[in-house]
Amino acid sequence: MKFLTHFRKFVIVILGIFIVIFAFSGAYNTQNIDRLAYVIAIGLDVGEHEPLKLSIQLSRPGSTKSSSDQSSDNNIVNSVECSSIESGLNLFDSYVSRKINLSHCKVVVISEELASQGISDYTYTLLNSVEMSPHANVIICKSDSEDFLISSKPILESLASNYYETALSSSEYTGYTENVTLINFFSDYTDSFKEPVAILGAVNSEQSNSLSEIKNDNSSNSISDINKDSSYIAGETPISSKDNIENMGLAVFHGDKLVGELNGLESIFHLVVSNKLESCNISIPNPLGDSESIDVNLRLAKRTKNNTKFVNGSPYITSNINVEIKILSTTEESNRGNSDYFTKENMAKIEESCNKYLSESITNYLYKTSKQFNSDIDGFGKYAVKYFLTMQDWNNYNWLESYKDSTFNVNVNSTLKSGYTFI
Amino acid sequence: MNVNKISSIEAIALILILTINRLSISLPQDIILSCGSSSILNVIYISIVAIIFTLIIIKLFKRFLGQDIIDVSNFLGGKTLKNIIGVFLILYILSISSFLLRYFAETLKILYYFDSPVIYILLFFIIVCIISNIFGGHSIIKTNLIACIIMFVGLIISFLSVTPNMTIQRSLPILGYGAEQTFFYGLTNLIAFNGLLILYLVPPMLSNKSDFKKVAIISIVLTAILIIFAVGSILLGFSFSTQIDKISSLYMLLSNNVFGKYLQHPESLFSFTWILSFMSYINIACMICIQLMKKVTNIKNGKPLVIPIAIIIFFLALIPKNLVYAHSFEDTLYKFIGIPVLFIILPLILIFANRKYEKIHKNDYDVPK
Repeated sequence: MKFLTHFRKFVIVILGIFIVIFAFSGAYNTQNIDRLAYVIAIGLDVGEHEPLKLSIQLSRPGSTKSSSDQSSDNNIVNSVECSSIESGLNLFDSYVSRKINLSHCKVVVISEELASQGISDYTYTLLNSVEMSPHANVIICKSDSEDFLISSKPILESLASNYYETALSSSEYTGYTENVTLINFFSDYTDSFKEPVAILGAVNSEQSNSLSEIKNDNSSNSISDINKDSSYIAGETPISSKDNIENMGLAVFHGDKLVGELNGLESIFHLVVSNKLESCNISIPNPLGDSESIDVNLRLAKRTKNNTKFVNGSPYITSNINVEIKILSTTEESNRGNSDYFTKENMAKIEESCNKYLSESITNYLYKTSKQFNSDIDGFGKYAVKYFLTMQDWNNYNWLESYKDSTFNVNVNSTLKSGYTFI
Repeated sequence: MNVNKISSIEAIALILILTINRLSISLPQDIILSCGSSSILNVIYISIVAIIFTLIIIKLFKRFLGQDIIDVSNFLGGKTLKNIIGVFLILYILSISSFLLRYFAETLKILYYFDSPVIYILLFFIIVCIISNIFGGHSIIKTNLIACIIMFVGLIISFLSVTPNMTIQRSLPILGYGAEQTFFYGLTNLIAFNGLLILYLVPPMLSNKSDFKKVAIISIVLTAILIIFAVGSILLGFSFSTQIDKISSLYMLLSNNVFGKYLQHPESLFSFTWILSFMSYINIACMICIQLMKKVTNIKNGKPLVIPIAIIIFFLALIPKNLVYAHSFEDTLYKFIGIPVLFIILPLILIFANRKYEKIHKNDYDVPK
């Protein structure tokens, strides 16, 4: 009897193991690297004959050798005109004879034209996918998204996927753009007190230099004169490297539609106001007169304190910004006599100049987001929501539409910390 | 298969595992979708109500030390009431665990096993349930303790990891869809404390019968902490949580959050513990059904009941057409059967049993008042 009991247990255990092994082995339908084609970037554009032109950049299996010549060979970009993302991927499945897999997709590139029409459906579809990583970056491309993918030629990276990962991390020390992921974009889009932004990208072509020259000629604003190197947007920087991609500035959305662009400097102001700035270099007017401007390294000294009140039913937004600066540029005069940057009086003058310059520039930037774009990309709505008791009241007020009536008061308090090796 | 010597911590784990599994799947999202920005206020409110309710239950059980609700029903209404309550609870546990199993199996299928038929995934859990129940209740309870601790710690870490991305203002407007929705209709969210069901059945299982009060209070407070953390992290972490019903709250939390450069897919790591804890849940559901059947039918050996009960769970799990139906069935059962039974019928039985007890013992001076 005891033997029978043990035997029964043994049979049950063996049976269980076998069922599990056969159920999950899936030998008839393996999903492995030999059968999958890994997409590292997706491009979305307006099609000529269909609503959507879908481009994909595929990773070539085994292409890990580092060489700048090889980089273009490793770059497999294909496009298809289709009615939806899924149907386009199906067409690619049949073309590449492997199953297209999005689990390693690092970037979603959307053309400016498509973004202006609205990208809500595409973001919902992409985030509905199990494969798609919500941490893929969202880039709004000023040119055709297919051209953008073709032009992504890693110079210092052997793998294109690594290239996308590292290329966008430069925003941590330049502040010229923000590392916007698909989930950030979607979260801001669905938020009732914030609007989304995306990374602004473009292909740096031969036209870029001429565009930047025209821009420099037309520019008469003193703010952009001082910081003209930071006032470019993607595709307009005068960098000599041709036909390569660059990310600079931010694409501003109202709802799911692209409504405007911010240049590098305005992106810095966006990061300052929304507490996301890590470090950046900007120029401020030199109050001592030994040069036109002083280059400084800027960091947030404290978290920016924003507040929203309602005055006669319109939002009145206050932003108290605390920054610390370190002087980068220096001149012969600055190291002696009256122009010494680090005397008490001169330090106070530099701080005053910085405060004035930043508060004027940031106020201009905020009015641009409000009056020109009507897009609360800095999330001031979250400071206004406390005045409402129920969601119905809040929705009736419609913050995102009322933002255009906002008035701003920006206070900047800068502290000059030091220079670097010259003191 | 007698389970009558479990420690306090094992009993707490028994109660917690019910909530943990629902928290991983759909519970936080259900609460957030029903209350919007006032979800945190709502869960604090229902937690206070649940704690008060638990204290009342403890008080009502005071005169029935070491007895469960079946014994109390027997005392109140004899065999008829005992059988009615017993059968009703068996059916409730069987159906709720089956639909939850189907929901979980469908979730696994969508996320990981998209090529495997759902029947295989269901069988995976059913076979484990049969084997573990044949081995006996004590092994289930001890395994459950381990699974519960792992899940509890894992959930708390997951919830805390969202902290850097939290926007406190997402809990505003404070009243969400209105005071009525938060405090009156929001009371239906009390079903988040479905672990209370075990509270009615656990007294005879305890090795030290007087630990019931301690077990009840600790488990309900831990449940409240878990629910507040879960709802808070999802509501404050993701703006779309008030608008979009995602497949699984835990998966949403883990897949949309950043855990540093080297841990890029934490959801895969958690899925293993998640499966273990769900297995434990099904094992316990089957074990409790067997215990109840033994009480109702007065049989001594429950092992022959293991396979039939597992088969019933399996077939009930096959009834919903898909994930949406499974969730809808589960939701309907919780709202229209779970709440009335847990919070009205069973307490009423306890109240009337207490009155009967008072009547019987009105001239006795040595009985508890």
